[in-house]
Amino acid sequence: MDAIDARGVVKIYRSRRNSTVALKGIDLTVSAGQLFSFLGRNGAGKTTFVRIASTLLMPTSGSISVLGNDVVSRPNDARQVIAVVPQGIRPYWHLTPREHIFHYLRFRDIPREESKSRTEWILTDMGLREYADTPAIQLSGGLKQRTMVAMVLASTAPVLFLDEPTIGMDPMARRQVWNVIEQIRLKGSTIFLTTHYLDEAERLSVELAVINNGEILYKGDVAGMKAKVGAEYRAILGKNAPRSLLEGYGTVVDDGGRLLVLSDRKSVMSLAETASREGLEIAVGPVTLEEAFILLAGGREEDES
Amino acid sequence: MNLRYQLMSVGRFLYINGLLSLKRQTMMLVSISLAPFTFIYFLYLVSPRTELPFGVVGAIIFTTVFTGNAMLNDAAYYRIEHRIQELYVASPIRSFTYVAGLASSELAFTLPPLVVLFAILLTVIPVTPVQVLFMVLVVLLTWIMAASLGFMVSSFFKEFREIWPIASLLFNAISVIPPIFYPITVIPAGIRWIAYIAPTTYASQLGDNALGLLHNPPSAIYTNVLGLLLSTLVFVGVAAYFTRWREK
Repeated sequence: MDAIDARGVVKIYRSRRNSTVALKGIDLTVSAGQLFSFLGRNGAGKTTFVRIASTLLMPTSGSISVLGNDVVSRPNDARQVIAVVPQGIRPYWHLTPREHIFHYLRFRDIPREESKSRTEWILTDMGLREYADTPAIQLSGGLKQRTMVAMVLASTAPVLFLDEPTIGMDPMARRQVWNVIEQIRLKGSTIFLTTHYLDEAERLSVELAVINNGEILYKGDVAGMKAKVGAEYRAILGKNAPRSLLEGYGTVVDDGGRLLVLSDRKSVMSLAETASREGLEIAVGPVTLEEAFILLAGGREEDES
Repeated sequence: MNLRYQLMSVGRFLYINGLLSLKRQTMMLVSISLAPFTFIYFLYLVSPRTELPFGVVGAIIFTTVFTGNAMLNDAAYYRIEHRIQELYVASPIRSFTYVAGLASSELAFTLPPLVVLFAILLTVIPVTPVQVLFMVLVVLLTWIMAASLGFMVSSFFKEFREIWPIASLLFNAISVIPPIFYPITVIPAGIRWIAYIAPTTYASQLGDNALGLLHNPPSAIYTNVLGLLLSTLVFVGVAAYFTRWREK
């Protein structure tokens, strides 16, 4: 059985003045036990999809089921098997990380002793032990976010929706969260992750989808998405590098404040030598998910919320 | 999930939102108590001593209605600013459990001043245990009515900053302007019906009649019981119907 099965999901936000189509008939399936990344630019429709799939928002039409439970017609059944880290969530000011985690687990009807042991495990693995008894009001933004993510991950619900879970965290904290996510996936949970950190998606997921303007642009594995670039290597140069010099080495892409040259390994190495002679700053390496994402979703106009 | 689990969850909300919060921010008690005790103090200074019991009953109703105001603010705060309500929506917790849990938490804040007000009541007029019990029931119904109203209104807002003027207007309209701190007989008989638009009027009249402050026939008490029961049921029903647990 698929963990998530979405068919023709449409969401239209209507207000007095206008209406905005946030999702334009999304079809998506996620296999059980998988970590699936859902990528897209700001306003692409990622959060809308997560909110519908996690029973927080009604779709305009279409259906989504989670482990066979339709989220529209049987939301209470779906809620038994899901947990969500909503985007922008903040903790209770007066509770400590230990209290947040323990009480959330008890709210999910996890027995007291099991809740206690899970709380201590996640406090350690998420690097929160030092702050376990500090009221949230005294924690930094990153620690507050880590606390909220720890609460939900400790539930090890069969399907976990994580909407930009590592936002505002330092690189070390992000890695701690990744390790816990990986542990939980290995225990059998399905994890649906939205993120703007493409290294995070590349590190954690095998399958992913890219959404833009309410439509799925790509669904498949990470390798397949990178293959869409049509090059194995890339060079990154400053905006001031002369394009005429670069064009002989491969495809030149304007990436905001920098230029990307996509090509084979030999051409990129040759470009590196030339750039070095010309005194240009250059970084080279294999193509990453970031280049694939820029080529796929970049340049397409943002709209809707 | 079964009823026992839902009831345990109400108790857990009471503990984390009410008792722990109260323990860690005791100044809130002073803030909550300030308005009702100030009203009583001014009544004590400017009105005849015979009017003081009306003020104490009014302060009890006012303090109970404050749970609705606090409910409106807290429910909106947790939903809009903290987005923590979403954690509970996407969980086995039911909407009724969440609302009952928040309402219980708000009552935890108002319970200490209510105990003090009941103690003052015992000192200003002779009261029988039955009358005290009756007042407790009035407080419970008023709490359910005010909390339902608060949660329902909170669910209509999308921006937190829009809330405080509405909350202030709404709860002053039902807890200060109606005859709560003063006898209804002050209002000219011809327009007295206007006072009954506010459900809190039934609560205060019930208290005043039950404690013997007003000398009305038993039918007046029955009318007030019916009025308070009906308005509580209506607010609970309307709240259950209109409250947005899942957004549309």
